[in-house]
Amino acid sequence: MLLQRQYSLPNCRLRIEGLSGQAGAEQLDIVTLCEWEIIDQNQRVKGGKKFLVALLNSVPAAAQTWLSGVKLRRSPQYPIQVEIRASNQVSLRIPRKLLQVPPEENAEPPANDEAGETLEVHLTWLQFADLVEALDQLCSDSQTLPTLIPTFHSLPRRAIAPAVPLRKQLMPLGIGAASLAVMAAIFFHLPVPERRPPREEAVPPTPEAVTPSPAPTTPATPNP
Amino acid sequence: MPATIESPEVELLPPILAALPDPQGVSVCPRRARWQLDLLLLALECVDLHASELMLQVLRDLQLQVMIPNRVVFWQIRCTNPFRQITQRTPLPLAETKALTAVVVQVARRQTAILRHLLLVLDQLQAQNLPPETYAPLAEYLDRFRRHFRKRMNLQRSGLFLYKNNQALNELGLKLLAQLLLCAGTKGMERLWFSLFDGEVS
Repeated sequence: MLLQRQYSLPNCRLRIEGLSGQAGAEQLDIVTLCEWEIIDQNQRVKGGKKFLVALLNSVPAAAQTWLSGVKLRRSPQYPIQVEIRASNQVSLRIPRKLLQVPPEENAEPPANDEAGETLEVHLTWLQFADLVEALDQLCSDSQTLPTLIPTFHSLPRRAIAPAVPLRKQLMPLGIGAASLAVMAAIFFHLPVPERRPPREEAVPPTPEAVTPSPAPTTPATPNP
Repeated sequence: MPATIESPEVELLPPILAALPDPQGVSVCPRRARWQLDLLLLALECVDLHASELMLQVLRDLQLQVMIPNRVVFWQIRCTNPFRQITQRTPLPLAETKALTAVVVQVARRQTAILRHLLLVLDQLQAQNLPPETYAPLAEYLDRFRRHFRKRMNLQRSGLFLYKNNQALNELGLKLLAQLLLCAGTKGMERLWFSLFDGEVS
């Protein structure tokens, strides 16, 4: 039995089609179509189960990383590359092998991608938030895909790029070692000072030195 | 001999916080999480003038007064943000962090309409190549955000040196609007909670 579920938000519509093995069942057993419609742009992106899984793996994780504001050590290996930039811009690069291309579009080369292997979709923050919300609603809906359980996890420490890059951390050490080497080279070429024995003959005292200083005048102390 | 009932001591948490598990290997709220939570609360206060009262109301509604009984404690907890001018060096326990997360999410959910409206107007202004200050409510929000930020945060810290510039502060304010909308979603609380510990778990 063919079943259809739709999650509608002001800027995004997510439609899931699938088959149920039992008559009268309300849950999908097999996903046959996942259609994501960006309403403002009149653009529809269609795919199968692989496309849905890729969306679920990539988009919420990118949203969480953007929310935390951390920088990753290396770009995540998700099937869909999500880049959230400042100034209200989000871009999604979706591999075309995940998509179902309509027959009329096969004849024309892809206009928005030079390589032709990925479809690049540009969104605003609001459209991206709607996509995340639609996926969250899908995951929370026990009537659609009950096996789909949203899982969250924090990124481990090793996945995060250090706040100060290693090159900057090592720069003071390098400058110190270089200056030490330069100074060592300079002092190596300087001659070693010779030790002179102290002279035996004493210098006769000058007449000024032997003139007695005037006796200090002490104030007279009153007798008790 | 009188009968005694021995029961293990269980920490009683409000039911809404049950969805937020303790992260592995973290016993207190990390420094970046304190900064992030305080910043989100600050943005909420700038979106709505009555948000600070709404936060206290949410604390009562969610039965979070066990952890944050009044506005003084709430202020003290927010002052654990290391970038504030008046900052407290006391560690922030995870239970209070969960309470702050719940407050952010609940207040953001109640302000979803305003958040969506401001972001929608931002899209339209950008499409016409107009600055955000062209629209009065957006300009008011940004102006309030800049004033509150500069009044409360210590701009002499090297991390905040960037925000002496109005443009950088405006970009931060706009980004926080979108982040609050993500927090207000169906799984927003879990998403915010786990994002607070990104890069902190082993």
